[in-house]
Amino acid sequence: MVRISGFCDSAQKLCSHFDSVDMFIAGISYEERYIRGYSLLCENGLQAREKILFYFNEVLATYNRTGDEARFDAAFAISSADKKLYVDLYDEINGLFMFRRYLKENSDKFLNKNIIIDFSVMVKPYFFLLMKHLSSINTKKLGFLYTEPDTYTSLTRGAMATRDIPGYSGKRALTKKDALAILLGFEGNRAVAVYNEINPDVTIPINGFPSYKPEFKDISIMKNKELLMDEEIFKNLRFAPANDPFQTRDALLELYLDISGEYNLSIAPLGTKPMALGGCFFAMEQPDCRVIYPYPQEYLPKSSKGWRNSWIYVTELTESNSSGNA
Amino acid sequence: MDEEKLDLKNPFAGFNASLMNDDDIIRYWIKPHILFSRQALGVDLTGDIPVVLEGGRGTGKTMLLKFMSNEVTVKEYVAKHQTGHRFLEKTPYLAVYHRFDGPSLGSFVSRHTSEEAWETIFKHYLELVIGQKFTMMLSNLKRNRCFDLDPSRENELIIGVLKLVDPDCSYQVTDCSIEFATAFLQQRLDRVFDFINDSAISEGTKFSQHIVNSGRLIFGVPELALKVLPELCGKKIIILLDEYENLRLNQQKIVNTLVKHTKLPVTFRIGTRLRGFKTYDTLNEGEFLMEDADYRKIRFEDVLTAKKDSFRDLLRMIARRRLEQIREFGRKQIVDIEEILGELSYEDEALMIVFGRKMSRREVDEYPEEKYRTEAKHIQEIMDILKTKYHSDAEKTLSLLIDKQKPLFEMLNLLLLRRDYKPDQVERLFKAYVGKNKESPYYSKYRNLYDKNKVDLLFQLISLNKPRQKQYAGFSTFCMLSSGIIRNFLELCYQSFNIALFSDRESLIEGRQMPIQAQTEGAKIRAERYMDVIERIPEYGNEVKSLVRSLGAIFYSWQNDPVLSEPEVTYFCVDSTSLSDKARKILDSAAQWSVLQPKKPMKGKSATDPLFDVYALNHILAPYFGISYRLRGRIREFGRADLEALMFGTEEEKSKAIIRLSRHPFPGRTKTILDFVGKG
Repeated sequence: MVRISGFCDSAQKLCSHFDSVDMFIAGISYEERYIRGYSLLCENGLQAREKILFYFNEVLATYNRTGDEARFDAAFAISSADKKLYVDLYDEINGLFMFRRYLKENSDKFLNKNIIIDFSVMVKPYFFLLMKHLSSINTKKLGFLYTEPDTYTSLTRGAMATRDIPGYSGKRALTKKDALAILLGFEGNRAVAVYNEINPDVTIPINGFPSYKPEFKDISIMKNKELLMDEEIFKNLRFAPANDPFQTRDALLELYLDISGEYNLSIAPLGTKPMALGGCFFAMEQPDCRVIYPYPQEYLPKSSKGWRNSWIYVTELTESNSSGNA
Repeated sequence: MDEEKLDLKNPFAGFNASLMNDDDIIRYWIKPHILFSRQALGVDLTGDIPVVLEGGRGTGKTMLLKFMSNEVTVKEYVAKHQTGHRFLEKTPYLAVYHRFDGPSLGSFVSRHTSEEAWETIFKHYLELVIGQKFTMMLSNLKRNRCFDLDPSRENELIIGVLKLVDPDCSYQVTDCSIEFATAFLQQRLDRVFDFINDSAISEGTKFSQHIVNSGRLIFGVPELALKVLPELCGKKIIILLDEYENLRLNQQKIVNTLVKHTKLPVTFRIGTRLRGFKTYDTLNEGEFLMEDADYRKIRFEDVLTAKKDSFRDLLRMIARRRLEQIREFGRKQIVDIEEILGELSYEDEALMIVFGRKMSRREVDEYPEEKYRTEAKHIQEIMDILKTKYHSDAEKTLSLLIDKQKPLFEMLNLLLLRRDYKPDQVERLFKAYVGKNKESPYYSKYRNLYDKNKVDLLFQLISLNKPRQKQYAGFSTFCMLSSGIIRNFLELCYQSFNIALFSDRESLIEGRQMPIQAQTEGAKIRAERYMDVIERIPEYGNEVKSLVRSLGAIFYSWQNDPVLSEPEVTYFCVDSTSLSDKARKILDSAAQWSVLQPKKPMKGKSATDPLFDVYALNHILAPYFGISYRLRGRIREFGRADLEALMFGTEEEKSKAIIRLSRHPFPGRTKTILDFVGKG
């Protein structure tokens, strides 16, 4: 059993939490914020000794422009010490198997090292699996870097299938009823898709509040009106800060302690990525809970514009024998 | 307004049986006699032969299966008799319900574990799940005192179950309750989940648990229970499996094998969406499930709508049960949905269109004739034709062709003139009909023309009187919009009540008819929501949506054909064997979600044509596109190239296909239709 503790702080203060960075992990994207975390690292004088970059094939193929890869290489100052993993955005299992293989062959690069993951532009199933793999080794310090976008545009298109995120199927007791906690995002259709797949006995929507921008909390309510029009669901509405995974984890834990005697709990991380990371921390600590995700037909390449604040989430993973259940 | 009125709930809130608890199921359940009275056709819902319940989303499959489950039947019996003591004497069957959860089933696969291994693990999992359902059923019967279970018999049962799971182990069980067996099975299930979670991220994970062979618990636990509990003798044990379509192909083979080789008294009821069977094969080579020999099938939409009156009665009863639950309606006996919604005849609607509001017959009579002739657009067109084509005494002829009480007849007369009938021919036909000269051949001809075209004539009248719109109101209209899907009806009522309870609450609880506008608005909201659902269809949502939008445009064009060469086109025919695999999957997907409803195949117009598959657009979408909700006219078959262009062609290919398949009698119409495709 894993226990995850930590805190969040402005990424401007990176150097007060890390004296060095041994490994920097990030992904490429056409979102403008993709490089912001790396820039902050450099501004703080924390040049990563090595980098692992997920080069998403779909991103490279989007515009089919030669030279794009070189653009990303230059942005991340890729050197021979770094590792580029060419992976499919839609195949997180294989992508993370490639990562795992690298991890196994180079465990010394991770063991007792300072590692920072910029998950700002990674799709959610990726960092859920990344977390699973990283939890299997003893790192010195594990930081998650996140940059808020200034605005969102269209995020995804169509629905492929609603599935458990691999490794997060939980343990369903047939004697219990089903509860679904939905971390609300801007795509109400996807929330309804998950809800219809699970057919939960009780649904708990969790809205990101405080949000990055004041209007975002209202937008997510409006976008999820089809779900929230059900008064039984609306009355269960809870809140967790949009940019603090630890508080999201705590909100989920509080819910879990309330209901786990009677309900199997599934969570659908559709809100902000820090909220999703909080869902990931929670699911790692409570492995009987399930994480379900509506995989889209397409992740749209430019899903956000600009950037705002950047955050560092410093974590410590410890093995624990108790479930944390009261 | 007092507090009680403020709290008035929408009687139609909550229409998804999957989300209902046992109490809701009991509260809202109406036995659909049309389904339970199929024994004459060899389909017995409580009999020996397995039954496949096939139907679109919202047809009531889950409600039926859940109602048959032991949890609900026992609860209902106890509520009625205050004890479960004689329940077993009364019930002919005991049933356990299990819903196949799609996302979970998708976890029975991983890159580093072979298909064969997953097949074995799934069999094992299914045995544990159904075995646990049985032990939970026994707990339920015991808890409700349906039988007396002394400790020795209970121990015998528990040991029996444990031995079925693991025959080599010698368990010592004393002073345990049947819940111990349930917990034991859960522990075994947890190990399956552990394997699923580990194998997703680690290579080389091995499943080390003792495997329960197929059928061992599914047939073994009932056999054991019958041996230990003679009270259960003679009872059918029914396994109710819902959402079979969620199973992967190999998983379906496993279930098919169990169904094929079922051991009485165990039998199955399988709920699935249309075309939910990915295979009929079993695990044994060359063996497959044969309809009638191995199972009987009920297709919900067909059965429910086979007798129009039965479907209407069922919907009326379902609505009554819901209205009775709300004190304001129940107390005042405002429980007849047919009375609440009322009816809107085509003729009355036509008067509303022409005069811009609901008019009584007397008001129409008193309306100045001259004003009517100059204001009514369709009269002006008749006049124009008479003047420009026939140069006769137009005013005099016109007076023979119009009757302001019956704008639809006037529209029919206009249609005939557009079809180049001579004014005197039209007059003869019209006169014979309104004069009720039933002996005259003109009478029957006119009547046939009217019956065949009246709904489209209404649409044509609307197109001449824009921005007036079609009303989708009245009980009969709601029944037809429902397309044989009970949930559609409930949602139509839900949306209409939402609006009416906000804007006309007082009049509604006084028992007055719900305003037509509230009903039409409710129908439109429901149609829009349905379009949103299409986007969520996994894998082919975008293609199905593209097809549906194109069909809406094509059907709309036929409906606005001034000479109405085909009335009320709402379906298309295609030779499915000519289609690509992808196109067939898209049609299957559309059928599974009831967006398109397959109908009986039709012979082509030429003698050498093959049988064509027929797909009707779900009528619930009619208000979205402003088209008819009846099945009438037939247009030429869709070819592969056109249909596939509508599904996944480029914008240019799609536009060309729409133009080819649409009706464009007048130049300039194309733009309107293509604009229409852009809707939504």
